Amino acid sequence: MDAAAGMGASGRRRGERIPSPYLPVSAALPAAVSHRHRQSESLLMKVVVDLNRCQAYAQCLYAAPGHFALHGREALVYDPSPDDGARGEMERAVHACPVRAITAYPDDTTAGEAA
Amino acid sequence: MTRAPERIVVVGASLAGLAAAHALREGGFFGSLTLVGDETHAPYDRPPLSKQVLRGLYSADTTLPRHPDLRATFRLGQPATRLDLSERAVELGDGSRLPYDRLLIATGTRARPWPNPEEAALAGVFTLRGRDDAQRLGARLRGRPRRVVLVGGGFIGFEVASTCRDLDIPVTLLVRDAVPLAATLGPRLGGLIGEVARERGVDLRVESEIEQMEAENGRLLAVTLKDGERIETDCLVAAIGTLRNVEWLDGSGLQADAKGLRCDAFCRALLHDGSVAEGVFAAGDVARWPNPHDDDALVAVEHWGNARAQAETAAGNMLAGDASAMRRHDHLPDFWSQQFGLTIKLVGLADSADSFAVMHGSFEERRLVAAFGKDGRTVAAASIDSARWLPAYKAAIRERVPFPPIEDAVDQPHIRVQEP
Ligand SMILES: Cc1cc2nc3c(=O)[nH]c(=O)nc-3n(C[C@H](O)[C@H](O)[C@H](O)COP(=O)(O)OP(=O)(O)OC[C@H]3O[C@@H](n4cnc5c(N)ncnc54)[C@H](O)[C@@H]3O)c2cc1C
Ligand code: SF4
Repeated sequence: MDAAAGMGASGRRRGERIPSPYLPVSAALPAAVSHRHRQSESLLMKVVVDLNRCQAYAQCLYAAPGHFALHGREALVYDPSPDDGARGEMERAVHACPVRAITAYPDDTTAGEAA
Repeated sequence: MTRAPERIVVVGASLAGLAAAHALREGGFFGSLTLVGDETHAPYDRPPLSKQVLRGLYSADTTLPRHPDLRATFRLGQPATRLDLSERAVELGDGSRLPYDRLLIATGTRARPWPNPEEAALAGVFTLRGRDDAQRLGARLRGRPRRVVLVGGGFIGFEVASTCRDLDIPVTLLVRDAVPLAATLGPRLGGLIGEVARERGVDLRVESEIEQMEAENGRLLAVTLKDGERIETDCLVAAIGTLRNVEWLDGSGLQADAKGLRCDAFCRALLHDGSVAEGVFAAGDVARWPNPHDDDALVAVEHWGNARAQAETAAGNMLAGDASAMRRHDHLPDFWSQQFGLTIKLVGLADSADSFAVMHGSFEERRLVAAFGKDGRTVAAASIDSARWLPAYKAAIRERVPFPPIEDAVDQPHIRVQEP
């Protein structure tokens, strides 16, 4: 199985805001659990790029110019924690990347946490 | 056929631990899933720490994205202190016990501390492994040290040196070997990176080591090298390798030592007698296993790509029930580094290569793909700012095609085979 593809854009359903490769799990969840997440007004997103996969195609730069940049010919730098206003751009970046190197989810670090 | 697991515990809440959690849910595991981490932070990404985070670009919060429906319990700020294999339970620092049906050990590594504890404790002496380290060092760099001395000729040392130059801070980089980065890239490419570093203003010293540090009121003032030279500095970063986080496994019966936790090809942890520890798996920097891409030599691959891939293999095997349904972990090691504006990538293992050839580009352009051979077979390929060519070489390396590979698709007038 391919890590980046699995966590990237694959399996996206139309109308879903954030790519969700774990559809079987979500589908089997009690409605209330998923509902809670959809309701949660999270302010941030979390982003990671698999830079083994990234081939500096720069599509993400066009999709989300404030959050991705190339320093040099191939060195991609990106915002790992953009605010919620960037969600649309980030989603476009996830889908624009030809090698599906980008994973982005809404920040939900408090979900299910019990320290 | 063993019973399907109901409770899975993952010790180590970082890249491998979180990747395993995702893969377990994706693999259809509905039971209770607990991740134990001794850091207070939620799982975060380390590679940006030595690069953009230290430089102050974008956010310093590199928390890894988590699927909203992960449904995992995180026990953060809580070390696992003991493993009881017979009771199938993990003991935590607060005395609580977590019983498991399957356990994943993903406790990774930590920065090797500076060997002299008094010097290590001086204000101005740093190591870099975690978010807190990056925050401390970043704050120091923003305070504009007079000179940063970096110790260690590995990738983290070079990346931090590069970041310091981006910030226009004077840097001395001390490397013990004759050629930097040679262990991973071979002396030719290592030498090239060293040359680039010098051009960017790094005071690179090879075959150079620190004799002692000088301090005043607990603050670093200067270092003296083995050759007697004294260098004034108020900021030293020791990037001298890692230590594996295996101490908590002492007395458990697992084969774990400074070289890592011994696993089989299916990510199953092994006992001292070489037999499999029922239900216990490992992944990431902490694991050491017979690597099919290195003639089944026991290696640990301390890279990002392996941590994720191995976590996924382990997760699949944790759910496989039957040993016959398990998958071998045969991920081809891969790696990237960004420094001095260059992107360096490696697939395969080049450390034992006996031959080397440039396939595309050239040293002069600072843009190339090179292949590595061993005993007439292709074992690795590296790129500098030419990553798009690498996937083609991946297949050649997997199949160990005769060296040099893909000779008909290169841009060289003729391929010159040299020593690495
Ligand atoms: C600064 C830096 C830059 C890097 N850059 C690159 C790069 O450019 N390319 C690349 O391929 N790789 C890079 N790496 C390597 C990559 O980050 C690692 O391979 C990866 O983090 C390994 O993941 P892991 O989950 O196996 O281990 P770790 O990330 O080390 O995580 C292990 C976790 O377990 C915790 N832990 C330890 N003991 C216990 C215990 N007893 N109980 C509970 N928790 C415990 C640790 O605190 C840690 O949080 C870099 C690493 C660093 C530090
Ligand atoms: S679009 Fe994908 S491949 Fe291109 S630079 Fe962005 S992450 Fe890399």
